[in-house]
Amino acid sequence: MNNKQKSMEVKGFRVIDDPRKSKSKNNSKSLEVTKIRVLKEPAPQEPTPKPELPKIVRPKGTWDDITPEDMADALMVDALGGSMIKKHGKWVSYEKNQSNIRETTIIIGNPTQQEMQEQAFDGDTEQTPTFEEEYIFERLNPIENAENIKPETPEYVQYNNNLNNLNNFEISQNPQEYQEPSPPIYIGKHVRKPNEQSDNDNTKENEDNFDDIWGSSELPKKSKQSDQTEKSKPKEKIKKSRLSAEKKFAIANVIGLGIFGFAVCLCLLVLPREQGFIKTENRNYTEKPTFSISSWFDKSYSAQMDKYYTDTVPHKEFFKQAGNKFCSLFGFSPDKVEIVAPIKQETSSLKQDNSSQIISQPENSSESSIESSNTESNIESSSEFSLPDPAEVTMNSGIMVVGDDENVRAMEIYGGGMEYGLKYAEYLNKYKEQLGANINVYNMCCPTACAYYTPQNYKDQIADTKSHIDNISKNLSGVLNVDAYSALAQHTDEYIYSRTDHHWQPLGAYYAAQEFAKVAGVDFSELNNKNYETKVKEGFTGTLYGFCQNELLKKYPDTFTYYEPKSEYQTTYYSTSFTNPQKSVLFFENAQSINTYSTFLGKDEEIAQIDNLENKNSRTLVIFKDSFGNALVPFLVNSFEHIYVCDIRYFNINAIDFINEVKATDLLFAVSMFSCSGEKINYIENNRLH
Amino acid sequence: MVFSDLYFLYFFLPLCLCLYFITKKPAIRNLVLIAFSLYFYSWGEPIWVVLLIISSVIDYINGLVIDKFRGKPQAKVAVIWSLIANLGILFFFKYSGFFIENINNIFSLSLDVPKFNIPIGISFYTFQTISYTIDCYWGKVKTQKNFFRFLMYVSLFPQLVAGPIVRYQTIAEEIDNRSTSIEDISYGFSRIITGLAKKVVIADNISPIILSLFGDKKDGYVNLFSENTACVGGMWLGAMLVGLEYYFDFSGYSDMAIGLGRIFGFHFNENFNYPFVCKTIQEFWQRWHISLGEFFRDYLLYIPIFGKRRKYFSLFLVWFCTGFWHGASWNFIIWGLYYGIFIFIEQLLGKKKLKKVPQFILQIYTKFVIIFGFGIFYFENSKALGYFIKSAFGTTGLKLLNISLKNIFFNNIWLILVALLLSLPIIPTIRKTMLSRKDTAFVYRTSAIVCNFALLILSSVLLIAKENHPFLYYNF
Repeated sequence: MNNKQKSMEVKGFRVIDDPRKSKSKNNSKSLEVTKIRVLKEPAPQEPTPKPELPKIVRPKGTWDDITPEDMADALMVDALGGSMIKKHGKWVSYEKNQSNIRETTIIIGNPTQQEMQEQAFDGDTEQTPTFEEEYIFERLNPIENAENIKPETPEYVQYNNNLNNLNNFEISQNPQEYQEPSPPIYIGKHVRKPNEQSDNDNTKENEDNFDDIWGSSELPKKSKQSDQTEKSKPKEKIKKSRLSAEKKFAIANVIGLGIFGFAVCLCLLVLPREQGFIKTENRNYTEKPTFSISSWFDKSYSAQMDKYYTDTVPHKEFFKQAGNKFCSLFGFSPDKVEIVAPIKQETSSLKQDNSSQIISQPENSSESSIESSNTESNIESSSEFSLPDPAEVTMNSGIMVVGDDENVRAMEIYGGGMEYGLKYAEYLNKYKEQLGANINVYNMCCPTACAYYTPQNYKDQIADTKSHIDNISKNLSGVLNVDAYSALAQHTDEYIYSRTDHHWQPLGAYYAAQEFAKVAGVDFSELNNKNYETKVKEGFTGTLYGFCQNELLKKYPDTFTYYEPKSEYQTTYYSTSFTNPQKSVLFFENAQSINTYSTFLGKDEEIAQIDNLENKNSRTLVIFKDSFGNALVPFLVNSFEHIYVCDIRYFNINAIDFINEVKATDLLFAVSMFSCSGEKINYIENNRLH
Repeated sequence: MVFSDLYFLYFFLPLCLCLYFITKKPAIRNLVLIAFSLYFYSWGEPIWVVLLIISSVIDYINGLVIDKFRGKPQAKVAVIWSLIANLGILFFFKYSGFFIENINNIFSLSLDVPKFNIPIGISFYTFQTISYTIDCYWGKVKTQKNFFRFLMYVSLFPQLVAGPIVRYQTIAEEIDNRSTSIEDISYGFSRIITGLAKKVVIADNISPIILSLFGDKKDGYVNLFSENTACVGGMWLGAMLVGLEYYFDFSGYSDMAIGLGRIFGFHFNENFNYPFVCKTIQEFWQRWHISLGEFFRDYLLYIPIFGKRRKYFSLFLVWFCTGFWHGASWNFIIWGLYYGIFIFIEQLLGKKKLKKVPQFILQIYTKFVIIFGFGIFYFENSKALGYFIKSAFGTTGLKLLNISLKNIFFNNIWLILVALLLSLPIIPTIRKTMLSRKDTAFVYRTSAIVCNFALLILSSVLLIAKENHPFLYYNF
């Protein structure tokens, strides 16, 4: 302590080694020496005898404040001649000049983590340095000036703890006032000793040194050891207890995490995996892949294995809910509106065969007489239900979830597309042109929920349904427009749209069908117990829940109420090329959870023919629809003698030929807003041109 | 295989650790590491694992040749051959499509554009082998005489597929001789969990926000163009989130790599050092993807082929390469040169002048440049990039703010705030202050263990609950 204070008095410098004792004098002239002293410390118990001279600079700041050029400046090492290497978080400079090679370790600023761990407990003991200490170094002039220096008056240089001032060394020359300091502690690394004989044999020496420094793999190891011994020796006593404390934590950490990791590992290997069908996602759990050479090389084995490993974790549903719960902590919904990012679903995996979920044969509860069960099972087994493919739900803009508690409602955000609308009208006009005056062509654009239920202040975030419909209807020529938008708008306080599904409720379809019947001038069976049998399915969590997995939606699922006409009719399904007729039912009662909407017609693809056995008005309706159209069919059964239902997306024959072949009198296009103002209009045009 | 995957965390890794630590002989341990590394790599690239081995063989032989003919022309030939082979492989798989596309565009030809799937991690391991051969030639490292040790270096799975670019000289001694202490394993575990949490808890949950603001490459950036939802504020928020996502994703990966390396006794260099606290753009690049910056600095910037003008010419060459390395697309080149320009300006001004500028102005300037830079980085098609640049400065007539931005922001406000806070060096500060006293050190260490558990469980749950995202830097 005395030492320190005394040296403080010296011109404000807290230095310094006794220059007369400096070994630099004894060294080869060619050596440039820089030393560092750690201040504020009393002498360590034992001095560190070092045969070689370290060169250490430890200014404050962080590693990255310093560029190699800075470093080179600081040490007068030309970064090009020598080189700076960052080694375990320390800069090591190698410099080669005429007569010797020097390795310098520079430790700058913040300690590395490892160092800090080593030093962590030393901070509270006064004997040991912390990294915040100031360091000062002394520099002797390089060789050129060596003769100018008198040994009695060396330069003392204070390092300002600031790299940018490296060039502005402050110098004092007052060895007289200087008191013998405590022996220095060297923090740092081993330094190569310059070769004493270097003067004699320059070139050979160079090469040897070169190999020695660059080539020897023992060198760094050795230095590490010396580093450790230097540090630990003086404080062996203190460190013993400290280290063990630190080690205890390390051991606890390793053992704890190790046991946890291996336990989970074992659980995943041993516990029975989830398998079968996932209701909430409407798909099967991934199956364990079987190894084969080909599946290995086309990466399918590894991909499926990765998937299997995560997908079939025991109690997957629990983890999924926990994860979703955590994610709901990320923020809040200022207007009770949440916009869910568009979710990319892998359709391939969703479409995997879900044989276990094939809907079993429907009960013959409906009055329609169905004879053979073969045909049924046939059509049923091909009825794979899955989340609508992305072509069906345009998830580009995402899903908006509004309202709280039982009023919660998810809606697709409608993005619009005026140009598509124009083209759509144009395509429909072509149908009318080609079909002539004898066949009535109708257009019904089915609005989606967001047309009615978007909160006022979010209205300008979505495209306006009404103006899009007007845009289409204005450009129709000869095609009759069915204004479903206005028809539904009068009933928005009724249950006309599902809250968890992107489709409408059968009731919504009823109002649209009513409007259509009015335009088409056909009889229409009002909704009452005489005409229809009401059936209810509870717990309907639809596609939008499937996409956004919102907890509230799950808590408050939809009720799906549908109406079976009591009249006598029969339903036949054909392939998409209008071949292979098979009799079946119109209502698939076993459709459930996410697929509840598939109660109508089972699935979209096939062409369905519904013949009313009571109504003989000799009108034949052909409906080109997307999935929205399915719900219309039951309400039109009584209005037409024959109905053919075709999906615009899965139609493989020429539409005009087909319409003529079935002797249609009416042609209805019933598609959702997403289909009539998006890419899907091309299906309509293609069907005409097949 | 990715690190953030249950199969890796709870099958591959425990198995690997078991086998590694029950064997005692270094040679067998090396073999275990090689076997698991090749298993790791061929899991994702069952065919191109051959390329990895070929590349190792080439550079192993080059190393031997250089050693034998040191100072003779043969050594030079070996270096050049190594450069040609490695850069050739890289060019062939990564850039040939891009070049032919551009040649087609310029000369209106219709050459077949080769469509390769870029082998995973090729950008990283070719650079590593290059660094080995050059360092051999420069005499910075001793030639590795044992092929298996060299193969272990190249294929070492912690750093194989997405960096950091670990140079041979960094771990040269440890390849030959290394040991693991219990502290190393503890540190490694903690580091792996930190990285995993960064990736799974933060980065993966930021990505859907970006998706709803911008859309992505696959859907043609629909939401960027959507008049209903896009706004000027959204451009900047989105670009900032891209920066955060990449930071947490890539630094998380680097953390995991460093932690894994430490368990096996390797000390990799840090790859990230809280880049967002930087005061200059130069500093940013000394804190962001450090291993890449150092690679270009040491092997490209300081080769004295440009004479005295190296400062200017090679500076732009370095930044061109940095950009181009990230992907065969114009936006990456623009992005690289964009940084080059700012660094060029900073160098012209000089350190002293920059020091005089008030802190907060420097902070605003750097954050502005960085955030806008990430915007450029994100949009890989030129139409979207142009639209973003114009919209960010309000020249496309978009509103400054809109309600959908408000919604997106508040829906994720805590996540964004936490991400911003953690991108600053808060944890190191806490660690430092708490470790300086004995009683707080105890609290710190205890809570560190608790946090390890909490984060591991949370990350695992999220891994199960959510669709898996691969690390972003797999694409590069």
